[in-house]
Amino acid sequence: MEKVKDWNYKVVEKIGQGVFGEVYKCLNLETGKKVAIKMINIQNEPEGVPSYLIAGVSLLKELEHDNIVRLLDVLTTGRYVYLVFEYLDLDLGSFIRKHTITSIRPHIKTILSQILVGLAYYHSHNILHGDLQPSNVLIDLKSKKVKLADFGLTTSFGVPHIEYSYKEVGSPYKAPESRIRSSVYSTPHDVWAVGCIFAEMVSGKPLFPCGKKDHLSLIVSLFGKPTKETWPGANYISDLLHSHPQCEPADLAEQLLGLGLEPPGVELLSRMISLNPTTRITARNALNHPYFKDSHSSLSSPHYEAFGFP
Amino acid sequence: VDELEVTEDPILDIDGRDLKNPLAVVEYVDDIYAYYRKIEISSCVSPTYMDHQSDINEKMRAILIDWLLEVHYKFELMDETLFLTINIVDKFLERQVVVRKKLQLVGVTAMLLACKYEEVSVPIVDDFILISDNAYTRKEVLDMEKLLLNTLQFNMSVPTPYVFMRRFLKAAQSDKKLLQQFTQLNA
Repeated sequence: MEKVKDWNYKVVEKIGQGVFGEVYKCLNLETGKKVAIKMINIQNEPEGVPSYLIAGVSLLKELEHDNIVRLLDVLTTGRYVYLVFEYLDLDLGSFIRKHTITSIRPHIKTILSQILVGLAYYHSHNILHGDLQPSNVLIDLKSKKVKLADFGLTTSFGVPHIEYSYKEVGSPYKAPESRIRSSVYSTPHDVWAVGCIFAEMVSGKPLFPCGKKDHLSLIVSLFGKPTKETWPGANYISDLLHSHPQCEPADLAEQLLGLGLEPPGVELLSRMISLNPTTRITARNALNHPYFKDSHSSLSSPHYEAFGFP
Repeated sequence: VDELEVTEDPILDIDGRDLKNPLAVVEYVDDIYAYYRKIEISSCVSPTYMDHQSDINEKMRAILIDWLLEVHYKFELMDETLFLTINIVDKFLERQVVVRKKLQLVGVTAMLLACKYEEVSVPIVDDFILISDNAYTRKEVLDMEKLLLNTLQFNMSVPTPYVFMRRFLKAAQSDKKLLQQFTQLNA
């Protein structure tokens, strides 16, 4: 990080890197509190601070929600725009890695409902998260709160954008339509990612692990070979699909039930990872799903004292 | 109090005729204005902020605003942009002492920022330098942009008088021409 005058933050470590810049975990030397600082490179912008940043950051400043990390401070220098976010030490990724699936099980509903409440808030403000994954879900054990963060810098600010080819690279939480040429990237994309996180909490491992097999093969082995009826994107990559052998869909429901997920949970998950983005459940509707009926969560109750954490 | 309310005329439904217009977002209009009312205070500046300025006064501000109105007209910008520009100028002057020589720079850069926030097609920095008769350099404009953003902390999503005025004039069943006159008058 460059030297900035009157800047009261000390770098602890780098926690993210992307096309837009870097993210550092820092310490506020005045308050002693931890923050995450996202740096966005504007050195090569001839017209000054770009419009998308001005509109995007002023929108982020407006977001004030219990389940979303706060944007605390913004600083613009000649080279970077620094966004200072609230930071919590534990993320869902390490939470899952450090605990057994039986000890995670009682907390799934609490965590999932808070993720969905935060996401519904984003979507009601017309903002896409774009990079939901366990490491962007922060947990505060003391206040028993879950907060969504975005430290990945893989996307800008909810600007709908179009992908131009089938991409194999990228996060295993990205929805299938985001990898297809000429598909518009919108709110269902985030819900898919929540579905992946949900499955990961139940099974303790990623639904679509990266590395082992390519993403498309994983989709085919989970859902069977998609058709343009089950997946409108299929006709765009028909030649890619053609080379895949026909196979029976895996019985994900059976596996998840075996891991202790109740039937309504299986039903909700299947609606979150619907291949067709237009039939995928919305964050707000997911919160009204019978799966949450016996928990205390609802969009109208902003307090979560009722929830227990380890 | 109850008796008084009974004798009042029923409230006219001013949104009914816009039900089929998706851009009027009728189903959210009450939510949106309730939110504007809630955060209205964030767009307000102290009426006495000019007391803290030593080199400029209300009259110079008025001259600057008149000039910005002309620039706004010449660039064919949206009404929202004009009100946001003036709000940025006032919020900046409330927080920072500015010398006379730099007042126009504050105004022109505030308009650049308002354009970046509101407009689909934004005039380029060189347009703003030219319209200021080359009084400032490109570097001065870009440096001022950073100072404005740092001072205002990117808080640009504010309800300006324009959003309320538009609603009140709709409630008063006025026509478009009256809105234009009000815009000129209130700026």
